[in-house]
Amino acid sequence: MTTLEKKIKLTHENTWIKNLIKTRELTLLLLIIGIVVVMSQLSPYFFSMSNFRAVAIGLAPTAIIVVGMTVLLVSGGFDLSVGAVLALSGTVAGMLMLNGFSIGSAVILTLLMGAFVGFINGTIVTKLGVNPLIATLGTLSLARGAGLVLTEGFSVTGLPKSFSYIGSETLFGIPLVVIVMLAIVIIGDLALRHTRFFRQNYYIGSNENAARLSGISVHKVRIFAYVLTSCLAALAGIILASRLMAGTPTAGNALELQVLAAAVIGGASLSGGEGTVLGAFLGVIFVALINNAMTMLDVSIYWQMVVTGCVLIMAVSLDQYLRRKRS
Amino acid sequence: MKAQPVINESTPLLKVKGVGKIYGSTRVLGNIDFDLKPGEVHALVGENGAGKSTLLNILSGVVKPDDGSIHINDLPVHFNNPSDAQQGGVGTVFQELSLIPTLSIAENIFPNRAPLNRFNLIDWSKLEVKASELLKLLDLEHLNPNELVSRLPGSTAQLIEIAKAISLDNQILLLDEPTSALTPKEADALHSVITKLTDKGIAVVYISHHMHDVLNVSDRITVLRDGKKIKTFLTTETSASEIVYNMVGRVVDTATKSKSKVSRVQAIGVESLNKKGNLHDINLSVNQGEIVAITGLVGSGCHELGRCLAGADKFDSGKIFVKQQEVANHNIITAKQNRVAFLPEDRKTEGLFLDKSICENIIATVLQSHSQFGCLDHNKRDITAKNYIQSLNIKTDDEQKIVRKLSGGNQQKVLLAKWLETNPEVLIISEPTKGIDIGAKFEIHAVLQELASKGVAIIIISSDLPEVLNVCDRLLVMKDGSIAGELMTKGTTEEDILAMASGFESTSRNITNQD
Repeated sequence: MTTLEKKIKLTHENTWIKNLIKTRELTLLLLIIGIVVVMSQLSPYFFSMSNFRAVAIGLAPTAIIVVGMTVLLVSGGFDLSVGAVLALSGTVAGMLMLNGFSIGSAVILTLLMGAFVGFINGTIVTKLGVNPLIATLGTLSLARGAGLVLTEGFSVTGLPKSFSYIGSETLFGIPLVVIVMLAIVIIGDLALRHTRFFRQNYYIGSNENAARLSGISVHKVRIFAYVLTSCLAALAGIILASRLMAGTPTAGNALELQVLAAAVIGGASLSGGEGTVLGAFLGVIFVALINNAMTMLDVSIYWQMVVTGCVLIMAVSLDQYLRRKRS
Repeated sequence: MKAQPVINESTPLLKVKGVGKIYGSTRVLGNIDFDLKPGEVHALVGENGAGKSTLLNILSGVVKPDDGSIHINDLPVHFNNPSDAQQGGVGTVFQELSLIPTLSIAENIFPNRAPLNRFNLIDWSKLEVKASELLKLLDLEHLNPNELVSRLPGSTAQLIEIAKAISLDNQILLLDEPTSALTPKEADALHSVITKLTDKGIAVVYISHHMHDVLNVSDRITVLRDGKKIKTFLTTETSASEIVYNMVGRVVDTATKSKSKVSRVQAIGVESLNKKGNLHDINLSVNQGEIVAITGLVGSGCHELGRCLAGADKFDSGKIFVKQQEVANHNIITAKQNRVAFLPEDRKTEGLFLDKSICENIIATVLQSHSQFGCLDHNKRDITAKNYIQSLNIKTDDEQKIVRKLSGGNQQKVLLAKWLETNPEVLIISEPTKGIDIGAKFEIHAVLQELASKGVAIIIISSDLPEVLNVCDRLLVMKDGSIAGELMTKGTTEEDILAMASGFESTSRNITNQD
């Protein structure tokens, strides 16, 4: 074996360890552990099952939506309408139930409505070539407005009792909401890592033209990513409505920014081609824990927004700095 | 040149009959007949706008022809998109690299086509094995298929593109300017890979501007001009000058260097300039009225040096003198104030505002002098643009035309005009005629020489050796970030430059006649 061959072999062996160290997932995991350790010392209520349970239920809608948003970000798009779709779904599901639809059919119809909004988003972005910022800003306003028109601004209440099952039932002591969320995150992560269809998003997000020339149906894949995201937003809306037993047209205000922030903290990039569902999920947990910690420490809710903003900017700036240093 | 053109007898693998393409009201391609035999390398040459890319795009399924037919193995085929063409047996390596830097080599080779396991998930180990087999075929067995593409040098990336194209088991491979990013040595390696592939019966369509590549590697050469096929030549029976004559349609008058009077006054100079990892201890001095070339192989640092001289990039240590005065804070703003102009290598991404008009591009450097009380003077702008359109012979309907719609040569002229308007005393120009028609190329050379005769110091950073030898007074050859040596143009041959640039006494590359 020549020295060159040895050198190459050595680098092969070291690659996966180096890759692990470089991944955002590990950094985030360490940060999350850090927060848990520090907070356990600062507050007696933090390290308790009931607190973690509350945090997990609280972050479920964001975590469900972030799965779709990550796929979208990887493909080079993003969706600002998720918060509005979440609110619209809650009210639509509620009104359908009040108008005699069964819970099952109301849920399915609401998910279909979500898919339709996503299809509209995707079609405008791909076929008409409108920038996703503008396209989804439009549907944001549209969906938010539609929710308010339907309800005249009031929450939809008086939902059938059994609808609360989704939001309050537990399985083996774990809330159903959390199980659904974990299932979606795990399936989403595996799909984006290991399936041919979802892998195509990386090619598209990195170089759309090259992807097309490689024989990838760019429009199909991108539209699907929008449909998936809106569908998940609709699901999150149904879950939230079930938990509150009300469809609130103003729910999920500025949720899109939280979702985007978490995905970006988790390693996704607005310019596409990068990101994992696991990273984005850890990003959601990270932000949720910081907010939870601040609540425990009696920091006002307004300051929490300020801190979230600072964390986002610091995380992304640090990442950019490290990247530039590496190259 | 490959020895035996025995393939003549065999039936064509690909047959193109009367293919044409019309965009709007302009016919860009008309009545093209073209055929490709198994195991053959068929070169396609022509100036920009001759229709090469259109034909390539038709064959690779990117655009649909308006008339004519394509047959593969005597069966008519209709490609609606690139994936149809790939399934139909045509693999294409486009000029612009299409690799995804954040994914592994293996994933790049099999986009959308990775092998699956029984759960319908990507079978990573099988993917690695399949990728390794292809890498071995291309003499790249030292690469780990799991390595990220971003860690590879550009030349290797080009070979990965070829691996991607042949991963479909295609019989037909289309290569568009495959050597444009390669050093001569790498180009040779690529050519031996091509020979290996043709030995397996794969037929190659080879599009290139580089005449000696074409003559080296091809069996036949088809010349296109103005969207029409001029003639197909057997490579063994033709010469570079015959091909060039047919491409241009007239005898090309290569502007040879008229001895300009070089003054003894230094226009720009550097002393012990260093940039970590790129440039080491660079000293140079260029006088007024002198044309100096900085040349070298890819990665030698000549473009980095050009950017530092222009103030576009920072350097770590060293002094820069403009008009014999040391410049303390050399950056692109002070450089412009000191009348140093810089035309970057990549005119489309760094030089021009492609979606703005000719006149808006030209005055981008001189907004101040084209404004009154802070408002832009549109009349003055249009007059300035009109003057340059005339003096530089920019082919356009009017000065309001969007720059993206111009040909490469005319775009370069707009970029030149943009900087000429600043009245430069030093002009640093990177790859001045890369991807430009032969006609426009010589016009640009003439402009540069005229500027030099007026006392402008010109630094040309170019890897186009005939250009460098024709236009410049003096050559600085770079190797591994240092200046390896200096040559006067007179009496220097391309071999001398390559020897100095590669550090070998003689190079392996054949230089064909360039008369």
